[in-house]
Amino acid sequence: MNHKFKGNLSVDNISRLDQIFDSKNWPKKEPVPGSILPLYEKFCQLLSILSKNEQNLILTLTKDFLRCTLNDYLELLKNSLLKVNQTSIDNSEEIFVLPLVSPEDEQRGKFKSGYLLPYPAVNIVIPHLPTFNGKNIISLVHLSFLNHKYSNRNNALILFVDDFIGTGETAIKALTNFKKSYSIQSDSFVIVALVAQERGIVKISEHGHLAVAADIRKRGISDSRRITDKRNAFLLMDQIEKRLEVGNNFLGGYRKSEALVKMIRTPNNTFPVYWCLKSSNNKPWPAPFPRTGT
Amino acid sequence: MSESNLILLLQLIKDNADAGSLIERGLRYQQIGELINRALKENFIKHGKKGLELTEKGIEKIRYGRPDGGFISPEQQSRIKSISINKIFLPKDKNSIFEIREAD
Repeated sequence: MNHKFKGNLSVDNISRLDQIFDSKNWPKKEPVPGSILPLYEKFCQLLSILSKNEQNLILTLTKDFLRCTLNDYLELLKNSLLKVNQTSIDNSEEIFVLPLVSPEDEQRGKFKSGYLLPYPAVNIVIPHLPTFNGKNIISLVHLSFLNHKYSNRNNALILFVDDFIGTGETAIKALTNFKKSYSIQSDSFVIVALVAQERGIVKISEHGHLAVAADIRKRGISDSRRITDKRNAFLLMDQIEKRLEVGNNFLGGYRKSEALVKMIRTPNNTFPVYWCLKSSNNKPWPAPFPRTGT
Repeated sequence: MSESNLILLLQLIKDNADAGSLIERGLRYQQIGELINRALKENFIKHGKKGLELTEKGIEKIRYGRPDGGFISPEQQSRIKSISINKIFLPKDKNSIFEIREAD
């Protein structure tokens, strides 16, 4: 049995992990997808294969980890929609809510997290937000409907929604595609994310677009207030990541995003130590937040 | 068993050791976490500057009634039920704590 695996985990570090779980209200017994082990045991298994210093780093980073479940989505959606500029709402004649999906993913026909959100946004959350009172709000599956059914729109506000923004690349691609093929002069638009990396938001704004999020996240090590010796922290993380079977693009999280986030699906922007399932010697890696599905 | 686990936990904290011997007893990490919380609640241990440490009450707990002064903890997982005097207990190789070597 896996739980009998004798590891190198001190009583002290078990206690530190216990405090983190308690402070974040994480369910200790919730099974990890694809594993018989509960989340708490999986975390301990992960820590037990790390050196003492590596354990310290992961415990420190985990203090800043954000774990969002589907149950959290409506509250996050409410808080992100509340950040949409009131003047933009007031000046709009109609508001459209659409999923934020890159053209590549659209062509592949993949179901993306963005598709989950327009329906509850329009039917559950927005009706309770006074900021949107009296507005005609329509959720659409695809941008093409803007040109077919709503080609005569005037001063429309278009909200592109997604659960997470990492580097901002997807959002920029989606907006470039929108501007090229679907937008009209009087349209204004905002990206609404539940959670976003700060750097992603900045990148989007550098392209002249606006993005809001309920929770804006800093980089796990580079921007950490808890970690003073950042150089050593990076060395330790490099040391761990060398033992993982991940492409260079994902070291430090996709394009070095250094994210510490789990949404319904863990974004690849998160440090791979949390989601990668294989170690470089082809053995399983005990990831507490694996990226399930494709 | 849980009392003896508590004493072993206190010994591990005293020696700043890893939790391996509790795992060998068949405890899950979550149960160790619960044991730590119990020890904290009952004031056997406290959070010190360098992590968990024993309180006076904790030190007394591992010393109490022990001729070895609380230095040695019984290996609960190696205990077997008593057997008749005419029987011999042979542990399975995989359970043996001794290394098996071929004679030279």
